[in-house]
Formats: sequence, structure tokens, C-alpha cells
Amino acid sequence: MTGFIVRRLMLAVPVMLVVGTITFLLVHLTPGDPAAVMLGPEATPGQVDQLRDEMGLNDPLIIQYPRWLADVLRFDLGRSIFLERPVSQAILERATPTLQLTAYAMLIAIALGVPAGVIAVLHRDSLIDKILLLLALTGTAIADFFLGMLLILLFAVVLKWLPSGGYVAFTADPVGHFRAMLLPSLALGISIAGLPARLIRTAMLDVIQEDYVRVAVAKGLSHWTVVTRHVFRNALLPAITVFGYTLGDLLGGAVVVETVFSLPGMGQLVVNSIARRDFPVIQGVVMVIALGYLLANLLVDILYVAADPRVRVTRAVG
Amino acid sequence: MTRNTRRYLWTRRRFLTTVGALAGGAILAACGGNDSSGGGDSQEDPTPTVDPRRGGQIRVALTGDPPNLDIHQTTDSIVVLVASHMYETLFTWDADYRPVPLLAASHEESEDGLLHTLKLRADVPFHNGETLKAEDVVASIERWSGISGLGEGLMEAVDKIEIVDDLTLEFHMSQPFGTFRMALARQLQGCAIYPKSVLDASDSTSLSEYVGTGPYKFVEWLPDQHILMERFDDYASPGGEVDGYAGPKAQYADRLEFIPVRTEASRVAGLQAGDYHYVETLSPDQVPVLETTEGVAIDVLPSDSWLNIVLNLRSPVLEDLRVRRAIQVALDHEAIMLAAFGEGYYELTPELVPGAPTWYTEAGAEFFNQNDPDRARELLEEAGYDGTPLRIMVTEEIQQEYNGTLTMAQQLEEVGFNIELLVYDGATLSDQRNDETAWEMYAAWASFRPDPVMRNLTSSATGWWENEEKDELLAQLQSESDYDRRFEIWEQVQYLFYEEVPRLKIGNSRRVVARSAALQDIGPTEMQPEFSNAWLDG
Amino acid sequence: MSVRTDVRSRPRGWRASYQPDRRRPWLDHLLGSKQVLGSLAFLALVTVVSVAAPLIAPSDPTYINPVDRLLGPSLKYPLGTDDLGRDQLSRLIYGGRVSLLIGVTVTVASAVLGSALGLIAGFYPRLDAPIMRLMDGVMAFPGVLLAIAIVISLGARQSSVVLALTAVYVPVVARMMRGMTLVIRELPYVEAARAMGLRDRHILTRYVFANAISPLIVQATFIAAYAILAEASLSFLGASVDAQTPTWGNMLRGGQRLLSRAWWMAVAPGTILFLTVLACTLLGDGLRDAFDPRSRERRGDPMLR
Repeated sequence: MTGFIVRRLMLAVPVMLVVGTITFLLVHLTPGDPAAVMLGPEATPGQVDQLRDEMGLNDPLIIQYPRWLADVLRFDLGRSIFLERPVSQAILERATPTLQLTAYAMLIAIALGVPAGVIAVLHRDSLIDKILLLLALTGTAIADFFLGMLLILLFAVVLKWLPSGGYVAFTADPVGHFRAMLLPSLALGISIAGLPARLIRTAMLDVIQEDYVRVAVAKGLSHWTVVTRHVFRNALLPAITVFGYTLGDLLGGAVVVETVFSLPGMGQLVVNSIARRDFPVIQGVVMVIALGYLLANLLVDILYVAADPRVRVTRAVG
Repeated sequence: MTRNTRRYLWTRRRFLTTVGALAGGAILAACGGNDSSGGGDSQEDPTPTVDPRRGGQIRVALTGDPPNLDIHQTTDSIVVLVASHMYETLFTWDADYRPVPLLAASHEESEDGLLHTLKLRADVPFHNGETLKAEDVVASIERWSGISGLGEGLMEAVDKIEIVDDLTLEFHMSQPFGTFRMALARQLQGCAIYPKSVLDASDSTSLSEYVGTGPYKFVEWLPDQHILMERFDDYASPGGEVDGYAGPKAQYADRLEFIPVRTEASRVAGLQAGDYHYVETLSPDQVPVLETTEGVAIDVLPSDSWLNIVLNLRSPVLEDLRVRRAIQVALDHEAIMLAAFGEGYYELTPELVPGAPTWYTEAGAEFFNQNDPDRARELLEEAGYDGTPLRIMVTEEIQQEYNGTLTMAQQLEEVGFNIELLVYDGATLSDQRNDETAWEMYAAWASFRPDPVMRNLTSSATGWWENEEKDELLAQLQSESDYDRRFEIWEQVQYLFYEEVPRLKIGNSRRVVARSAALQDIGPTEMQPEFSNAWLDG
Repeated sequence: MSVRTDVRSRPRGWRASYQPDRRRPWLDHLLGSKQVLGSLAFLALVTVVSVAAPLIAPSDPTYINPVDRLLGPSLKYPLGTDDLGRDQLSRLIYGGRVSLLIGVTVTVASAVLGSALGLIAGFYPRLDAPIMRLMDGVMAFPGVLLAIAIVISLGARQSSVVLALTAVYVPVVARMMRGMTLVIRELPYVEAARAMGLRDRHILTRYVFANAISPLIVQATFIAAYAILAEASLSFLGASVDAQTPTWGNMLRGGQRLLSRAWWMAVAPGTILFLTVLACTLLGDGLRDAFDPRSRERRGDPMLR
């Protein structure tokens, strides 16, 4: 097991470097550069060129790339052009809101989806099953920015119960924090709630098939005991792992929600940095996100293997 | 200025005069908004009969984070909106858009125009405790002129700057420079005065800290979250009456908070929900919704900026004047402005400096908005247009420019042009603009300028309008100081603009200001609103 | 030879009266499922309307007519106009072409490419690690960023969006196919086929793929649903087809900007987007239920009363 973990961690390094290099190329070969953005709409071509020289952007890529690579290998992600702080600091500052948003959204998705899935299974093929599933799927089928906008209109503009956007740190004002995060978490959570619902339903259906469940019923255990102790618990693991694998989707949803609700998270950092061609930030963020993704995957794989001894390490997770 | 002196200046008489001036100004602003032609009524905004209240935090929603907080650097208006509360310039503008001293105490120009003597106000503190001295001004001007075109122009005419004493500067000129005050006044990419100590620790692209002389001082900048400023208690408020951007700053608000909100619909919703007091820009299409919202006040002000189509005069397709004339003649300006701004929010007049009535002229008006597609087709035939595509760049990021450009493109196609629409993101467009082989046309914004010399029509500006006569005239415009003479020169320049078609003016747009009804006394907004005299009612 | 173990000839004679027809039970189940039929019907309708756009749409979806801007639904403009005076109904119909085309292309491309990679990775252990690490790398790259970068460099075209979304979904399909291949590979009849000396390619296609095809189809419908929604999100972030060419995504984007002012601009594309995605998802769920051999047995399960 340890060997497996170490191997995966070691493999993460070249993957990150490759990802970083691809980003470097992508970013420097696409049109647009930060100098023009910095100087604004009425700058003359002469001014722009002068600034590019000062920023070192006119140096050929052969020179720029090793410069960047050397910095990265020293764990120096550089300094943001527009944010006036080191890239690593910018990323750290932004990680918290995004992690909070995704965590709350997952909680909401699970809180909405799992009960719906369980109830649907126990009343399979009846009307309740269909309605609950439909509800769960409805959330997934609405475009996330549209859902966000509708929530703002309802709760912020019409009812005036919650703020229309913005972020309040938990340490600064716990109540304000949750008030500000409620709508964005709802928007993101509802849009993924369908997934846990269907996953738990499918997984439970598989488990219900198993012989030990039939034995439990035959033994005379109460319906409820069987469901919770045997069916649900054993369905949880496969459901969690599949859920874990699909987390990659979450960043895309987070980007949109952060933009609509003006949350200073990684999503907005990515989008705004691309819009302004803040090269150091773009490169740094991509590598950090890649690392995060690889670690999350690793975690889920470990969980899967550790929890279910029937699964052999090499077969299941490659 | 010490606390005691300030209290002394702020006597009862001064206080009443100021309030009266503010109230009068507010009445005038409300009337002025209603009088203008076209639709778009101002919402009823009763003149405040209560005294201005001290305290509170004004929350302003921006379209995004500014690229920096360094006024020297960028021509982006959002920087001036935010940073001009922290920094001040040597001169500013009064209500008639005449340049008047701000950090300067006085300014004299010699008879022959070769010597400008600048005296600074005494005891003007910076946020870091230092006091304004001549060396700070020199350092700021030197840095600024290395970046700004207008600054370059000024320094070219300057032989040397002599520091006579801590509060006196002498500019020895090699040639007359009549627009001295204007060059050093409040504007985009203007000469904000930073302390020399800060500039010594900075480089030409970023400042080591944000320190100025302005009424609000920098607290923190959390990107994508907010820029926070608080009242600078030791601020040296200018004397006199509030007059445009000039005069005393009452600093009613405790703090100013600028919040980037990228999605327009979220800004509007935030204003409706009462989360923001002011919104940076608003599409006129949002007005009908906000008009009916309680607690929101809308002012539709006279026009002060115009939709500007830049032509690439180095492109082989556009070399022939007849082709450019065909473009000029083919367009139905009304339709374009309607598509971009909606009914009642635009005007079709030919002057190139709208909002500055002293510079109004109809020179070249016969070329403006001819709307004659048949004539355009004739011209194209005459010129032997061979169907080479006209590449028009546009970005979806600025909705009005996008709408206007699309409408224009359709009209040009109907006349026989072969149009290739290049839809880019903002940064790509800013980059491609500098490449003379990459485009033929794009839409830009000509924002308010109080004086025509501040609009860059030289050959170094994008579009590369190279014309000796015009460059001569512009140089004269810069060096002359007599208004009548300058007006004559300007008329000639405007005529050349319409005759040679280096760019196209489509029309003026009226400014829409949307604010919470609680926010009072924003002051003029043509060169960005100032919240230094604004206060929150309730 | 097919490996389906439930193939029997149609019961004839006196047995037919009491023995159920077990030839193609899944087909029966499929045709009996209202969910599947309903979604298929809806999707077919949308597709037909989109394909027939030039015949059905009342006007040119790109024609700009500023005089008629921001008009609500009326006889002349059943779904109103947008801020450039373009007819929303025509744009909706033409928009379907682009949105559906993007959805279908992305789905097919990622299914084909992903399956190929997954099959190879599952079948040949030596290629397994490199291919899967490559897929990991692609998945680690934030999809949103990749999409925006591709659109910026290649232009705001349909091909850019398709390329970007395909890159996102190929690893998903590849992983799934690899998993299935690993399992099927161990089954006795596959071993038997190899022992018989059948060529790898033959085994892969007729044995492995043939049995993995049902889950693939189910997955494909989900990818289609995601792809259509992803295009809308990309439009919102400014990284999709430029707004002159209507897609449901960029129509919705324009609509949400003016939501309070001109609700019709958002409601029409929003609704159709919602229904289409829902239909794809329901279709996928229904297909999964139909193809799953165990689901038929569950019908009689006492646990579920």
C-alpha cells in the first residue's frame, strides 16, 4: 500500500510539470498580452511595446521558458502582474472561498440527493420514485448561471432576505459568512444533487440483490434495520468512489457560480487571470489545480482499496 | 494643516455656504438632467432638505478589478474612478471645465510663454506623514511623462525644471506650451502626485505603496473582493466653494469600498437589493427595471462621450479615400446608435468634444450621417473595390460596442462590402490593435475630454492617421494659449477629421447614473464620479 | 458466434401460450418504458425541427433590426426580439442546430476515441499504465481553462468548443471502457476465444466491445447532456461560439443579462435547454434500466414492497 502511494505521488510530479509546460506554451502562443491590458483602451502601440520590453515579454520563448522552469523547480511560482503579490499568496488567499463553496455545495447535494435516492429505491417503480428522481434530475438540467441568477432575483431582490453576492470570511463574521454563502452553495449544490441521488439508488439496488440481504430478511430482521445496517452501508462505498471521481466537474461549476456571486475564489482567479493574461498566475493556478485533482483522486482510490479488501490494488486503480 | 486650523476654517458661515452650494448644485443637476432632449426621464430626486450626515461606508460596484492603482499607468477609466480619491493632481476642473489649481497654489505663464512658475500649497500632508514638496512634483512628473503621451509632449517642450524652493518650481520651456495646466490636470493617465520617497522605491510599472494627498487613504486591496479606503483625517481640504471637481472636500463618508462585480445582472440585482450604493456603468437597457425599484435613483445626464470607429489607414484596402468615404456615407447612424443604446439614450451631432460646450463646432457636419447607400455603392464602383474583405474586430465584452459594430457590419454588407467579423476577447483585441496587418476597423469609446488637446489624434495613436497638416495643427493646439485662436485651429482639425475619414463618429451617448436613493451629492461624473463630498442619507 | 446467453428461438406451438417470449427481452422492456420512449420522442422532435430550420424558421436569425429591439412576444415575433432586434423564435430553432450538433459531435468523438483508448488499455497490460497516466494528466487539466484557452487561440467557433469538450470527456469514457475490458477479459469465453487463436482485433470488437456497448450508450447520453450544458456555461464565461451564430447557450447568456428587462430572451432558450438535457438524462437512465439484466429480476423482489 505504501509503495502504491509513493509511486502515485512520484508520478504526480512529472504530470504537473507537463501540465505546467503545456499551459506555458498555450498561454504564450495565444494572442494578447498583459501589457496591452495594463495600459488600457487608449494606449498607443508605442507605449504597449515599451511596456512589453520592460516586462520581458519580448524575449523569445527559448529564454522565457527555462527562466520559468527554473523558478518552478525552486517552488517559486513568480509574482502576479495585476494582483501585486506573489502567485502562491494569491492562490492561498483564493483557495479558502472555493473550498468552502465546494464543501457546502457537496453537503447540500448529499443532503438533498441521498434521502431522495433512498426513498426512491424503497418505493421503486412507484410514483414517488419517479417524482423524486425527476426532482433530482431537474436541478442537474438547469444551466448553473441561470439558476444562480434566479436565486438572486428571488432571495436578494424580491424577498431581500440574503445578499446578492460578495464574500464574508468566516473568521470575520460567522453569521454573515453563511448568509453570503447560502445562495451560491445552493446554486452549485442543486446542480449536482442529481448525481448522489442516482448513485445511491443504483448502488442500493445492486446491494439489495445480494444473498446476505435475503438472509437478513429471512432471519426476520426489521425492514428498517436491514436497510440501514446492510443495504445502505454497503452501497455507500461504491457510491462515494464514483462521486469522488466525478469531482472534476465541480471546478467548472464553481467558476460560474463564483462569477455570478462575485466570490473571490480560485474560479474567478482563473477566469480573470486569463482575461487579463496574467501569465504567472495562470501557469501557477493550473499546476496547483492539477496537483489538487491528482491528490483528490489518490485519496479516493486509497479509500476504495482500504475499505474493501476484496479489491486488489493494482487491478482496480491501475 | 492642523486640526485646529481646519476647525477654524470650517466656521458656521462656511458650513452654510457649502451646504447651500451643494443643494444648489443638486437642484441644477436634477434640472439639467430633465431638460435634455430625447426620452429617458430622471427619476424624481427631491433636493435634500436635510443636512449632510457624517459617517457610513459608501459601497461602489465596479465592472471588475482595476488593473492597478497607479494613475500614471493606464488609460482605463476604472483606475481614475477608484484612485482619484487617494491621489490628487496639480490642477483640476471647475464646473465649466476650466483647469484650476488643486495641489498648485498658483500658476503663472510668462509673456513669451517660455517660463511657467508653479507655486505649491503649503503644508499639504501625504498619507504617510510627509509634506508635499517640489521634489515630489518633479519626481512624479518625470515618471508620468515616461509613460503618458501627453506627458511626453509636455516634456519635449521643457528644457529643464528648476526647483527654486520647497514650494516653487520653474519650468523653462524651449517652446510655448499653452495647455500646460490641462496636461497636468485630473484625467485618465494623468499626473497624480506621489511622494518622491515612494517613487524611489518603485519602478515604472508598479508602485511600492499607495500614498497620496487625497481625502481618502488606502486601507487594503483584496482582489476580487474589494478595495477599501478610509477618511484621511489630516487632509488639506482646498478652500473656496465646491465648483465642479474643485473646491473643498467634506469627506462625509467614513470609508469607501469598491467591489468588483463582473456580471452586469448581478450589479443590477445588487443595486436593487440595496447591497451597493453606486454602480460603475450600466447599460441603458437596465433603466426601465431600475426606474420602478424603490430606493434606486436614476439620472440620465447629457451626453459626453461618443461611439468611435477607428480605421486602419495603413491597410491597403482603406488607402483609397473613396473607399473610406463609401464607408462614411453608407452608414445609418440612427440605427447603429439605437442598436447600441436604445431609444432616447443617444444624440446624433457632429462635434468631437461633446459635454464641453465651449468647443462645440459643426465643422465638417455635411459629412456626418449622410446615410446614402446608393452613393456608397457608386463610390465603391468608382474606386474599383475588388471584394477584399474588410476585417472588423469586435469583442463581446463591451455590449454597446458589440451591438453597434454588428449593426454597422450589416449595413456595410448591404452596400457591397465584403465584411469579415473578427470576434475576439478583450485582451486579444487590445493586442491585435497594434498590428497594422491584422485589421481594418474596430469600435472604440471616445470618453469625455474637457479639451480637444486631450484626445489623441496624433499619428502615434491607433489607426495611424498620418497627415502633416493635421499634425501641425495639433502641435499648435497644444502650444497656443489663446482660446479664440485654439478654437479656430480645432475647427480645422475637426473638418479634416470628417473630410479624410481616419475614424468615424457615429453618435453621442447619454450617461446613465444609477445609485441608491440614499447616496447624495456625487458631484460631476464626466471624469468619473467623486465621492469625497457624497454622503449617505439613512 | 454471439455470446448472448439468452438467445432462444421463438416459442412455437402449444408452449407459446404459457412461455414468455425470451428472445429479446431487453427490447421489450425498452419499448415498454415510457421514460425511454418519451425522451426519444422529444429528442427526435427537437432534432427534426433543428434540421428543418431553414424551412420552419420565420426569418433570418442573424438579421439585425434595431427598430424592433426588445419587443415582447407578439404575432409578428412569437418569442419576442433581443437587443439587436433579432427574432428569438428563429434564433431558437437555428440555435438548436448548433447546440445539438455540438452535443452529438462531442459525444461521438469522445465515445470513439475514449473507447479505443480504454479497450487498448484494458486489454494490453503494458499499455495500461501509460495510457491511464495520460488520461489522468488530461483530466487534471482544468476543463474550463482548456476550453477558454482553445477558444481564444482558435477563435470563437464551433470546432473550438467541440475540441475543448471532447478533451474533457475522452478520459471519462476511457476509464469506463478500461474498467469493463478488465472484467470481460477474464471471462471464460474470452479466454476460450484466445485459446482458439482468434485475432486480438476480432476479440476486442466482437467479444469485449459488444458486451460493453450498452453501458457505453448509457454513458454517451449523459455526456450529451453535460456537453449541451457545458456549452451554455462556456457561453456565459465568454468562451463559446460568438453571439451572431445563435446557440441556446449564448442566447441564454444574453437573456440572463437582461433578465428583469426582457424575460422572454432567457425563458425560451432556458426552457428548451432544460427539457433537452432532461430528456437526454432520462433516456440514459431508462436505457440503463433496460439493459441491466438484473433489473428484470428485481421486479419480483420481496425486499422492495
